[in-house]
Amino acid sequence: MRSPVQALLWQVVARHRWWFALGGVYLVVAAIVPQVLSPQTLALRVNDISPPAVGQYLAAGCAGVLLHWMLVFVAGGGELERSALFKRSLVLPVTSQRLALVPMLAGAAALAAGWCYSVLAVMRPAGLTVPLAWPAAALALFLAVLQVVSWLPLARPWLRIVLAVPLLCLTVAAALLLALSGLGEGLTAGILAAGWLAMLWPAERAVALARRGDTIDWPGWQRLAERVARLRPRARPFRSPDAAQLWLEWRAHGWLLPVAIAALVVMMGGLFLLADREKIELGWRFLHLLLVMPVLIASTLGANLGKQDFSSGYELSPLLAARPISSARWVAAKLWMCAASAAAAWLLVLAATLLLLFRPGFQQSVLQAIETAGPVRSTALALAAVGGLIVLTWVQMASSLWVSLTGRAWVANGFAFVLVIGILSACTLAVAFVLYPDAKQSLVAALPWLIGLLLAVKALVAAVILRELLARGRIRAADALRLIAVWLAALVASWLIGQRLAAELGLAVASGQLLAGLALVIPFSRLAGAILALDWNRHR
Amino acid sequence: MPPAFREEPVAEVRDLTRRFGDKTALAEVSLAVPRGVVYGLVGANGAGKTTLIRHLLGLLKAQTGAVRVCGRVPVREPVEVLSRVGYLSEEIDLPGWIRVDELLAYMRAFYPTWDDAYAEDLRQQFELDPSAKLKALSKGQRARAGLIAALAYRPELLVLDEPSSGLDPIVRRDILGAIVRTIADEGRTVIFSSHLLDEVERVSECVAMLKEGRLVFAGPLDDVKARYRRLTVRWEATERPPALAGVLGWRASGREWTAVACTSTEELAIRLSAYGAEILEQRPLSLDEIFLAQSAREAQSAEA
Repeated sequence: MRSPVQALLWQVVARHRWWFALGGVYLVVAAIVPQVLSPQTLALRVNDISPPAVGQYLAAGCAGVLLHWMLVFVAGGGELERSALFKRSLVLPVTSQRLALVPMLAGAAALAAGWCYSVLAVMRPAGLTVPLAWPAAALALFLAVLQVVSWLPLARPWLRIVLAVPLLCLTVAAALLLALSGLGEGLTAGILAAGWLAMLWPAERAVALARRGDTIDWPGWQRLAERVARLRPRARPFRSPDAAQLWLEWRAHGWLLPVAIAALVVMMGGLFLLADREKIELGWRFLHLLLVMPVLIASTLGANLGKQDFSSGYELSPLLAARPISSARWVAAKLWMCAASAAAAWLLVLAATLLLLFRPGFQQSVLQAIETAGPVRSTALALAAVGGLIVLTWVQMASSLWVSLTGRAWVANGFAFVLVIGILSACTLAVAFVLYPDAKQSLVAALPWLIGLLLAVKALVAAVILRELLARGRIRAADALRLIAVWLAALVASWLIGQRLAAELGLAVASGQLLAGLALVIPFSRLAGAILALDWNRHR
Repeated sequence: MPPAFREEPVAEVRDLTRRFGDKTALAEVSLAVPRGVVYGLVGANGAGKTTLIRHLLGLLKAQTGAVRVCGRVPVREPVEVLSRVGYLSEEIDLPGWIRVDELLAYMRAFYPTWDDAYAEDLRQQFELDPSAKLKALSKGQRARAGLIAALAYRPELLVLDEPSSGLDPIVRRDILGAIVRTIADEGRTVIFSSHLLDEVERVSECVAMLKEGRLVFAGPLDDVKARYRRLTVRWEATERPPALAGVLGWRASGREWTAVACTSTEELAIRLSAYGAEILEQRPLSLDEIFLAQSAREAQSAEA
């Protein structure tokens, strides 16, 4: 490194270089797409009021890339429990001002340049009408606020959330108000840039505090916590090793999903009750959002539930790895934890659903829907839908457990990489089907063969995993048979429910195709493979 | 020979080799840990002590060679082996959010032989607040909490991996006390790795030294110490004494030369007399001195 600035930048960027490369490739490809496609294709829309479909799709990718850049420049690699700054950077012979300024300037420049490139090279050529200057300045300001909040050495992690939520909401609100005030794009951008400059002083103070080892605390909270701790009864003995392990898993991970749901419900509660109270349709939209939330959050949590706890690394602590519990029983404890977590999250969702009934007219709308469908039918449908979503929440958490149970960061990163590529490919395919209906027909025709092939691969992988588990003595033959029986029971039950639902909803789905599709999506290898993954982690 | 040495060893390693990429962490290590002894593992940082211990616990799988603990293969039968082993590692890397009483309740569930009274006795002796979270404890207090968790079920084999590294003398005393207490129970064994050699010498009956993954020596401490002596030799010739097999690091002080010998005195006296030299004095060495002499020899061999 030729200069401290270069070294500081390298420290922030080097760990993420492959993701930067992937983002860069995406931005280049996204700029080529509008040049290659015809104007008619670029003008395609899902409905009359929505923006051009291709432009939306490309813009979503650009937003993802910019979001990644933002996260990189916020969390340098330190522990958020104290300060997100690199510990080693705090003892470097550079001033606090420079230590704060380098990532702030680099981050702001990267985001502003990334935004301008996305607008000029991707979004506008794809037919989107997007402002250029003020969002670039707003992004830089948003990042600066996030950096200050992350760098402040706070004694309690939750204080950061308490500080971050109102500050970030205020930043977004201020940017939107300025943009809507009719000041003009240049002036709005100038005011937001001045806001960014104003963040330099608190950023420098945050770094200086962190360097001195000072922490910002709330002593009253500490006294309260100590008083509460004294009131808490002594820990009681567990009934069995499984109960002890389940307790540990719950304390390490189980609470995350319910707490995330509770936080979202609290944040959205006011919106549920106040937003455009005349529109009954909005109530139904909120309901859909509430029902989808646990599944979406569970899918993001799943791949981290195999770690010791949510903030630890992937490798298992030797002290925990040396507990006399089999890998199969350990995984079983994790699966029960996922079930308990999903159940707790859904209790909160159902409680929040009651909030919606306080929206004017929504209760009547629900009753009307029940009357139209018939009370028995609608109750059965609601139960099936909620039951299905609860199971889906559990599946989202449980089926990705194997990723972090391997204890290898490269597996987790590789999985995330493949997932991103998969999502991008699926979106590209979806856009392609809109553009080329013939291709869709060909795929539909080939679908039975494709499903058959995937089922064969699935059966082969399952057989290999079961054989390995039996050969290593991690499960007995009876356990293997039980696993297969449970999977078959789940398949048959979901097939019967699926057939009934399809009939109720008037969907024309062939019974065989439904069975094959369900056999493909109901996890087996991913759950059984979690035992092998943990074994690989514990016995390296 | 003590009775323990005639029984089946509690832990046995044969021709164990382990590589991490290009680095050989263990090279054909073979040793047997007799039942009912304190077995000290010594060696510099990176010598392979932790790697060896992790193989004994089944946390690492033998690439070549074999490992048996309590008559079983740890990787094949982890539950059976781990339920008989108490383990305390250098990094007390337990979750920080767990309280002391929760940790003990959690650990208790896994061991039918857990002794509540003993655990409580140790907790009071170590002055640990049951409601304190581990992250609020000092490193020494965390080590004490880990020690209770490793001792309270009176394991057949207690494995301590650098337990006193970075700790103050009072915590080190507690750890040594725990070793003595464990061994006071009939038939229990302690494997204790450290680079604090005076500690190892104070409590160990057997010792093994690892150097860059290779076993330098292993056996009863008395035998090892009997093998090494510091010699003072009268050397009349002007030139340096010749390199003799089993003699390490000649040093001059006038006409008297000193060296560490690890061969029989009689044989050495005959060889030295051929050069006109005479052994004036010989005295036993501490483990620390043996370690330094061996390290110097390894460095010399590497240079050669």
